[in-house]
Amino acid sequence: MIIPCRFRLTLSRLEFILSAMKSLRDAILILIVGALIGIAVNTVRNSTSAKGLAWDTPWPDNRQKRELELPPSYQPGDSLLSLEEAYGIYLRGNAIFIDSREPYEYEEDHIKGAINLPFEQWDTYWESVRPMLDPRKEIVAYCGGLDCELSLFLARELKQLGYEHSYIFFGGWQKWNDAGLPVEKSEGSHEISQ
Amino acid sequence: MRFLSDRRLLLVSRLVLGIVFIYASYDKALNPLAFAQIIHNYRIMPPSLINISAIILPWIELLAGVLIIVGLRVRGANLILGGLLVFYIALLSVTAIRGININCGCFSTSASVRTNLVVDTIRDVVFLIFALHILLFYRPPKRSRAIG
Repeated sequence: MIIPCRFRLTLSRLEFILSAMKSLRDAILILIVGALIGIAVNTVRNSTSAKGLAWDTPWPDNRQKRELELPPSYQPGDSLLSLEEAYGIYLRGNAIFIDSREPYEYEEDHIKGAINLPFEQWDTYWESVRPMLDPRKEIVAYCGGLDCELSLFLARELKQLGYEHSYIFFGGWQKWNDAGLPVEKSEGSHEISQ
Repeated sequence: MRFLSDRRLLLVSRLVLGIVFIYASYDKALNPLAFAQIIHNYRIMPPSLINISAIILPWIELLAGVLIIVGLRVRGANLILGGLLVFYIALLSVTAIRGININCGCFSTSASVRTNLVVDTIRDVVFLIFALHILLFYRPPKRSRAIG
């Protein structure tokens, strides 16, 4: 059958709209079926074991919060230190303070006597930092402000490696600096050969 | 540009996207509580929606991932996966800009796994290219003609 050109154009446009609508319909269908499977699995899990998730947990609303008292990923077992506690350990002079920020931040200013182990570059720095650590000593990991969780992850990693006395001084650098406690600079003093 | 409509090339895109999302959904589906914690860490979701998102999202990813591989409702599944990627790219960018240091939770629900949000965002942009390839060039096989 011969179809005039302008009708053919309209037909292909119609075909396109129909196909787009079908894709959209399929997508909505997948959303609904996927959601139902999730809900069904969770219901079964909740009724058979503790592996499921409660339908509603009273999560604290942290959307507007720029500063948190607890790290967002805080878990029971994480050993947190307040400024006073961290300073107390510092004064005893036997602990190792680890700055988990990037080297350029560390070089600019850091807690006096702290060493740099940038958590984001763990593999590069770990071997050179390890000889400076002692599993019997207290280790205090700190990071920039209350938005930074690198100290938390660093302390957890160290604990797993056997450094049991690893503590998290959450928001450490900001609190320490604001309190006017001892700091120092180092320019390029911590270069790592790869 | 004709090669882009090649069915074998489209199959590669479908496999990549499908495998990525099936792999990504696995850990989240197994550990809904850990995944809910990850969502909470983004500090963007209303508390009442956190758990339900953690319960349904992995299964939507898994279902769409399986469908796109086996070739059923491919365009619909691709819309879901592409839409999710656009959403994740926006979310990761905003989170990186806000200066929040967290694990993206893209492939693992362990909050202490190290991830770099910028790298995660770029990776999702690469995956989005596969989704766009399918969106623009995939045509479902016409069964009636094959019979005739």
